[in-house]
Amino acid sequence: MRALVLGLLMLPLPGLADGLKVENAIVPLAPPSAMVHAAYFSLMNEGNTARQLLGVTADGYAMAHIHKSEIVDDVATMTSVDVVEVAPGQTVVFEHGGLHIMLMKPAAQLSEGDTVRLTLKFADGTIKDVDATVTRPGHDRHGS
Amino acid sequence: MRKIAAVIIALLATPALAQVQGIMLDEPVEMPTFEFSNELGEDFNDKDLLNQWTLIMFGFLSCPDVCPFTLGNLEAAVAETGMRVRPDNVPKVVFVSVDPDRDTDAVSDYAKFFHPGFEGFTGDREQINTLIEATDSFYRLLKPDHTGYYEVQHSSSVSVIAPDGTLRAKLQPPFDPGLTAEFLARLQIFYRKELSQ
Repeated sequence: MRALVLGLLMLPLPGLADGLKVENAIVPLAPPSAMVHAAYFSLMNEGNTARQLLGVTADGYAMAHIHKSEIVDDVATMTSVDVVEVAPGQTVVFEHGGLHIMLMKPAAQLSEGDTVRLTLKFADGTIKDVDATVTRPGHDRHGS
Repeated sequence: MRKIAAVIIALLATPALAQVQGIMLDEPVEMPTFEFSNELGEDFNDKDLLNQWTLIMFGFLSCPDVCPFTLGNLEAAVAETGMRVRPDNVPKVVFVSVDPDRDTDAVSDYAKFFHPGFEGFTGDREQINTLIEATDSFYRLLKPDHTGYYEVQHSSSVSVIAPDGTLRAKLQPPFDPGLTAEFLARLQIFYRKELSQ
């Protein structure tokens, strides 16, 4: 029993145990005048059941929404996304030009290296906290 | 774009991997007179298009994904172009906001964040519509949500204006810096050949 408790204490952060893993979480540094930012990450389902991401909150922002950018016939559009399904073994990538978290009305100007705490909310009632690193645009990726 | 007959230039040798980074127009398109301004009191009008290459991108500041990504890639693409063309042929980048109600006070500041040489402007709806139409571009303000926030749909391609002030090409996403620079360098060679004929 003691070994088990010790083992649980040594688990990294809450969330890993539930089979969900988030990697490469970033918020590209935005112009001071920008009232919206974006967050990107890879969401991996390492568990045995499908998970549904329903929403996100972000510390330091008035609102956060799951959005999807699309370019159709040369027109860039954004739509709200109600649910992102992640099948067992699947990785859903939030990236430029596709799924992203739209962060609205930042409370303060961010600097490179800051972190933004995102809380991901799933349909089964679980939450997962993610710390996204503020990175300078162009230092993440250029292609798609 | 739909209206303009265009020649598609695929820039990679292998057709299966070809990524279209730009479309060269069959015929140059004359630009009308227009006038924009920014919070620094600077102007941008049709005469500013002369004697240099200009890239015009339409967008809006409340755009979390596509606009910053495009401006970031244009910055890299222009740097790459600088390695392929003479310094005076490196294009100037102009960001035109189609959302003046929200962006008038910060449009230059926004553009310069991506490169100190980038310029940002906006203007009256009529002026915006004039330039949108002349470049065969598109934008639409969507209905505000319950918080008053509204989305803006806009053309994703970037207009390339030659030193004679005419529209010559459109750059297209994903604006890969190397391929976009290659396209621009090739476009300039075509342009010079045409002038010398």
